[in-house]
Amino acid sequence: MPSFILTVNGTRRTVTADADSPLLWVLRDKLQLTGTKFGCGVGACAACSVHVDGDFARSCQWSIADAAGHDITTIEALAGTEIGRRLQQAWIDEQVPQCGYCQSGQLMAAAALLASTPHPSDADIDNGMSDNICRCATYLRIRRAIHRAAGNGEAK
Amino acid sequence: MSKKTITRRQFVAASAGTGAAFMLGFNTLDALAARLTPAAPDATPGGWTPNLWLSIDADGTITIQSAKSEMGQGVWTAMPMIVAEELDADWSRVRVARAPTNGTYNTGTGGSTSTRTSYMPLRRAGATARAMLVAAAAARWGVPASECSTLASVVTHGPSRRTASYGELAALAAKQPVPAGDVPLKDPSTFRLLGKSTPRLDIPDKVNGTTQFGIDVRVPNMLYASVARCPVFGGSLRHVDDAKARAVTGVRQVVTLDAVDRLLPARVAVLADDTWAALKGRDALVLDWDPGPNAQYSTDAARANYHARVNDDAHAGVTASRGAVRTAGAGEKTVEAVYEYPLLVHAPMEPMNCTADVRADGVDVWAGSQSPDSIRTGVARFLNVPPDTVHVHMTFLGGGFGRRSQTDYAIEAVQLSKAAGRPVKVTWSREEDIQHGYYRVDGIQRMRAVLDAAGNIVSWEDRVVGPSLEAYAFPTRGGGRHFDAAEPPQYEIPNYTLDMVFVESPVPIWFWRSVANSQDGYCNEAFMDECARAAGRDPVQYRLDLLKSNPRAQHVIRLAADKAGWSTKPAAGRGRGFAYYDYDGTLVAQVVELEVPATGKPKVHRVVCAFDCGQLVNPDTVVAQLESAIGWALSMVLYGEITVKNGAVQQSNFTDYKVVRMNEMPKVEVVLVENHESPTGVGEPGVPAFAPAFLSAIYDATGVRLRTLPVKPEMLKAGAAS
Repeated sequence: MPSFILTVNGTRRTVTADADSPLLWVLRDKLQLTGTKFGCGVGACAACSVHVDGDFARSCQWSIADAAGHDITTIEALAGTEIGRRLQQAWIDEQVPQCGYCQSGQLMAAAALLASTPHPSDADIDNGMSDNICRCATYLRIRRAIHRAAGNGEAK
Repeated sequence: MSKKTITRRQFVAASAGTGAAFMLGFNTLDALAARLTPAAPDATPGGWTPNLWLSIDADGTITIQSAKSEMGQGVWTAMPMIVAEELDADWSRVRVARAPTNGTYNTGTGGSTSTRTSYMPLRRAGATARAMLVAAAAARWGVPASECSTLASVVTHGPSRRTASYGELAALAAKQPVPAGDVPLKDPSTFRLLGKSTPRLDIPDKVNGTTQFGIDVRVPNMLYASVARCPVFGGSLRHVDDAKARAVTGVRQVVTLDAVDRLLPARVAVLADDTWAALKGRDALVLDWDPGPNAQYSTDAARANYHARVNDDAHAGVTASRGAVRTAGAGEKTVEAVYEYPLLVHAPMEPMNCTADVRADGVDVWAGSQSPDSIRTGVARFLNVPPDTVHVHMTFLGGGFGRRSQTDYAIEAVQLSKAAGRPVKVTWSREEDIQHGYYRVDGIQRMRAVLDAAGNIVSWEDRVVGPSLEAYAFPTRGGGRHFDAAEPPQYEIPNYTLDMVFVESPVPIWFWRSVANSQDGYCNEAFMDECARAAGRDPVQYRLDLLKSNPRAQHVIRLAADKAGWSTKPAAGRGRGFAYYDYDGTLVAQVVELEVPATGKPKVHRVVCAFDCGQLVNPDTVVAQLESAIGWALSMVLYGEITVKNGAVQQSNFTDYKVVRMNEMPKVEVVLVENHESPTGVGEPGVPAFAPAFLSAIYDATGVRLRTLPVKPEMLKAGAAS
């Protein structure tokens, strides 16, 4: 099996895996970074969201061969950024998670949104967050938490 | 013998008859549970474990057990709050632990019953421990216990102003006799914690990826499994060619698994070094399935059959009745309508998974489950081993919604570990979750009412035609009972008959968030709307007039109508609909406001929900559950449909089993009733009223009366009304 070198949460990692192995399963099974979740395997739910070079990416749609050489950030390192810390606190303040399974992906998507759009409107949030499914339907609180983290005031 | 053991046994004995949870006996805490779940609540040295529900350490840390599974509904916080209230605990020093799965606790979590059934036993557990702490302080100071009070984990002797913390008193409290009989409970008007929104204890770990779900379990020497399942319900395996699968790097073993009666189909599993290798190996299998007796089954034909049998009076079993139903007399009017509902799947975000380790000396199972004790006893039965050798380690659940009260995925992991002779984690794909689930039942209901000259309902008939969940889940009981649709009308109607034409189906059916109420709320309340309009009456006032002897129901209905501005017209182009539902004593009224654009896809703008569940435990959690239930029900009415053709489910993933996303979620305004009535359920009751209010709003907006779900745009596209 070939080896690939990628940077995960700031650390260079060498991974031996088939070239078609999805980044999702490399993170979860080979690097034990289980905060990134499997939800659909076809890029339809975004539970597996991570950042690749700072951009929102569904890790089930990235092969290890494609991810090699890039900077990968997962939920485990979200607190390493100011945006990430603000979002995590806002998620607690708004009591967002229910079952919590999709929330890693929601937070990674929200962080990518705020990085590109520091003060998103409701329409921006709809556009930026509608890849992500939450079966507990915590969407209203996610919206409020993003506004809160963005300093948009406590929009209801 | 340790003091701790004595006091526990004494407490259990003294508590016999006071609550189901205490009557199950006492077993030694399962030390193995500590391998994954948080520590059992044994107090540290110098501390005290007064009963099954809590321990108090000498440093003042209070650990409270939750026997109920946390799947997003907030029990991980609500259960400790109930104990802490009566204990007068310092909430900031409370931590929660998962009660072990050893037959001691009622771990079943479903039917919105956790608070309802735990409320009194947990209050008594807290109050009894508090009484013993007070007795300990009184003994230390030589004062009457009646002169002592408690607040925030401190006992105070009022006259002398002496204080002692619960941590200081723990060892002394352990020596106090357990009070005989029931200790007094608080007057609810003095509650300090219950009824106050309290941050959930599980949330901090859910924002940084550290919460352990079943799918995150990893044990040494574990293989990863992926499973191919016969696509047709009831089919079997003719032949498998696994040469290509075995050639996949990382694949270790291919195992043919027999069907498990009423639980699992014929399957072929690939075991590998990681999930991806297992999935690749599974996809490389060359499988020849015998589709078996259901190769022609389709939901289209099944529905046609339901309609064909809707007047099959000879085979309609009466499930409930009052008075005598009748036909319309002079000046009276008959209203009749038939409502259709499809199969639905749960699709929790965390696909089914389980890890098992079957050894000669015992079995360990790691799973997120709504019924860990069912796994324990089910695995014991399946392997024919004593239940005490089966150790179930609970994780958090990435959604339950009823799906995780089934045990199929755990039995499958056990089959695999037994075959492999080492630990195995099986992870289902989303396609397996959608196509091999346990489904919300499909069917139709024929509603018929007679309105007298004044428009009052004098006769009500509700016939269910379809498969029976009761017969599937409890085969010895037969069909047409509690878990099948057709609840008695919730209104003051003198004569009614509920019956059921039971139709066999090969589709596995199961509990789905709000169970039969998801059909019954829809059919009953959509029909009530039709009755109100047929009577020429306002749908809200019509219901109020039929609930004259139920002031709590009237209050909830009025709250929702007032908040929604029912007496005023909605904005141009919008329609408004109303529904009320009594869910096992939880009273819910909803107003849906929507518009139907030319595309025919309804856009819900606003949902008002008034809610009376008795004593509130954690109000913000109740609000969250109602937001959730409304989003869940919106997915149901816009998209929810599983269809079967040639014996196989046609949907496969979130691409064709769609659910609501951020851009479709309406504004939700919740009005909670505050009272001290016995608490009832919260997680499910928000679901049933939504569909009928939604359909009523569509009628209000368009004049189109829909009696089928889901609502598809072609039903409402411009011109569809004609």
